[in-house]
Amino acid sequence: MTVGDREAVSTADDAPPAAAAPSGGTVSEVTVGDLFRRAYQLFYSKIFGLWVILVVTVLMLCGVLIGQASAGTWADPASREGFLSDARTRFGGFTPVLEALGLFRVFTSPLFYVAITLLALSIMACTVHRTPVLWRAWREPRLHPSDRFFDNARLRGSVTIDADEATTRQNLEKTLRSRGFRVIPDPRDERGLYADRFAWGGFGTVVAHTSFLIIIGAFVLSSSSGIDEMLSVPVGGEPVEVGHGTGLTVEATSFVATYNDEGRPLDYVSHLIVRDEAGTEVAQDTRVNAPLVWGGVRLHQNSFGIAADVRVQDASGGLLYAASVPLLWRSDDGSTMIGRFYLSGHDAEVLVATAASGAGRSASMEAGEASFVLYVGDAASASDGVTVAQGTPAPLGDLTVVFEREREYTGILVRHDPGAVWMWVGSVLLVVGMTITFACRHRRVWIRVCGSSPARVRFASNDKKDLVFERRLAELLGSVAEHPDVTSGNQGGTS
Amino acid sequence: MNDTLRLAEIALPVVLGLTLLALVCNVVVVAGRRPDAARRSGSEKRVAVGVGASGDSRDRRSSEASAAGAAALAAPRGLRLASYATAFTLVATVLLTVYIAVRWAETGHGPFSNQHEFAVSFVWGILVSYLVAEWRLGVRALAIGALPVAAGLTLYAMQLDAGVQPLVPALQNSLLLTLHVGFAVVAYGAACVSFAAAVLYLVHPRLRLRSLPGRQTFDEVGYKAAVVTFPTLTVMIVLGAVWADTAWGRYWGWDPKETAALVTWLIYGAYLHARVSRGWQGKRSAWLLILGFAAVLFAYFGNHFFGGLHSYG
Repeated sequence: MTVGDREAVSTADDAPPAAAAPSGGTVSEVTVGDLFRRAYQLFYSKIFGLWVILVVTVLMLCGVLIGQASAGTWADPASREGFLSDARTRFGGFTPVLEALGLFRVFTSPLFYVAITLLALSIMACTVHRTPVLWRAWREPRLHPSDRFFDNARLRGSVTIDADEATTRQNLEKTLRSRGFRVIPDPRDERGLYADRFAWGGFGTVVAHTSFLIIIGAFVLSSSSGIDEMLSVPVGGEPVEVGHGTGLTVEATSFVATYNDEGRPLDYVSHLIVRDEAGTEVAQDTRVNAPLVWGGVRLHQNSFGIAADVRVQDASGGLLYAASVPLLWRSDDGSTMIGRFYLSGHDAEVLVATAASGAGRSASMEAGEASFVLYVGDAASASDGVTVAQGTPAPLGDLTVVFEREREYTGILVRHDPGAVWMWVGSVLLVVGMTITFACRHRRVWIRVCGSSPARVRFASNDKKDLVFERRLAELLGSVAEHPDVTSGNQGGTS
Repeated sequence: MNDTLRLAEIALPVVLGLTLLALVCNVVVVAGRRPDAARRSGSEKRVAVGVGASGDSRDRRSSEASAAGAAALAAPRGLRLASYATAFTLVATVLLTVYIAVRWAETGHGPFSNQHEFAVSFVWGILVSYLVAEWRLGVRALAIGALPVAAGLTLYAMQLDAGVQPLVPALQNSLLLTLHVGFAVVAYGAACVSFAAAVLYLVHPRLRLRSLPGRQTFDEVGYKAAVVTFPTLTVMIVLGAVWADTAWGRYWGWDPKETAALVTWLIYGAYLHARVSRGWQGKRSAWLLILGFAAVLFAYFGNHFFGGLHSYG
């Protein structure tokens, strides 16, 4: 219970009889303001904040320990079932429970979003609640402690100095100031001094907490906007449109993967040419750690593989599709590589497969052949299928397909992330805030000088135990004791 | 692996031996009689900076001692042994530094690219953090908790393949590799010191070591080490995000290793919040520090079972 709470209780106790609840029952009217206040109290409660941190930590730990499904795997029913089947072998009967809790996609689960939202609210309330307290500690420190404070403070001690009271006080003030302390005389007791360092240091926590909110905001912005698309760019083929209103195309003129004698990868490099609508172009060797950047769009070297150049015509000979289809998946027996593409105008999906390199003769096709399978609408079974030789047109349903050739493709991740800049702003503020918080801790000491020749200097602080601060304080007071009067050079003793 | 690297590897068993010797010396020093007589006979003036109700007499003595100066801390025999302990630790650290420098020179990049190199760097971080703590705070007893971990990790590093492999494309960013893993090394080293302090805090009542500082001192040392761990972990994670943004196109991808690092960060964050704002001291905060270091080890050894983008070998 806070001081404010006690005052509230006291006010209620002193209220006139007319304000009391009627006898025989309790009627309580909870206003929106009351609800807001209670919510605010809950959110600035440190215990609540710690519980939320615990929940977020546990959820993240689940994300590490429980294999997570990618968005693509979860969206595709067959892939999802395969993932869950694997999960059943690991988690047995717990699998449905884990699935229901969203723990296979924990970082996009409602539970995680709720926990992060509560964390953000808790940080916000704590920051709002703490700022006035920090301001008061800086601008209006408590200057006059009780006598008992000097007997009971967590850190306390005394020095005897062979000098009069005024000189000792003056000397203390001077020494403290020379060591970076702010010194304020006690307005109620001329023997007293208050000294502190880094009175503003607590604001480091405000900066750090605010930065955390910025980081959470950056996450939200990054996940809800921008560009995040994988392009399969045929090497030596036609330029591919980047899309998303960028007006850019990207062409790969070469791709080289280098390995050492033991098969360890040494380098992946694509030579990319990016052009805008005005015909301006930029070319670059794009490596894993050297993306091509055009304005706010970045193209990252991500993957590579084999693609099948495919052409599809409708019954009237009109061209429906002509592109390199990346063969992204390998069949279970490893004999074929499979890719797929959509014919949106026909509500159809076509799978294309070729013999995998090094797999020897496939059961269903020879090298230089490709198989096409057509799925129409949501049908679970194929409506048609055909295996064709390279360059030979073949019917597939009411379409005509041509497998033109195999070629390499380079996988280029296209990114534009408006949240990234806020992430860096938040990160810098987080480090700055932490540095201020931990390197500039607010340190306070109350001093009282009693008597003359010798003067007894009592000092006390209720700050937490700090060996370094204790040592510095001891050195400082020892220095005052050694030189009680700088001008006269009198020596004093300490106890 | 060339002859230079093979020769440099001899440093590791020597480091192990020196670390164990330092541990034994420190145990003997801490178990020995506190040299009160030497301190009393000193002509130095003392300023009594006592810790109040929360402290015990041993804390008071240590505060007084720090004011009186480190020279009065040990009697000649204890001082000699203590000097040997520090010297052994220092030489072990120098040897590790040389080993790391040789690998750096031979490979052309910071030696942080495989489990062996990171294990050696981890030991280096622990030894440096311990030496700094001993120098700044004068708490030699920390060796009892920190040096066994350093010795264990040295032994572990000696079991791993020390061969030099070229960097895979994702790791070919010398600046960020050095900075990102360098901050991890410092953070993990400081975390080990806070772990040592927490363990010593918890077992303090059962220890019959005559020169052991007060229990409260370990609570504070644990906090001080965590105050180093937390910001350096933060910088390490931020640098990792910068690197991920460059190499993988996104600053955060919930990769198991980066999530484990975030879990570790959250535990230290919870510890600092609990201690600073809720006044959690003593057993509860000591257990949080132990949990934090367990998370550090989990993130470190996770390379063996996490998979994901950080599984470089």
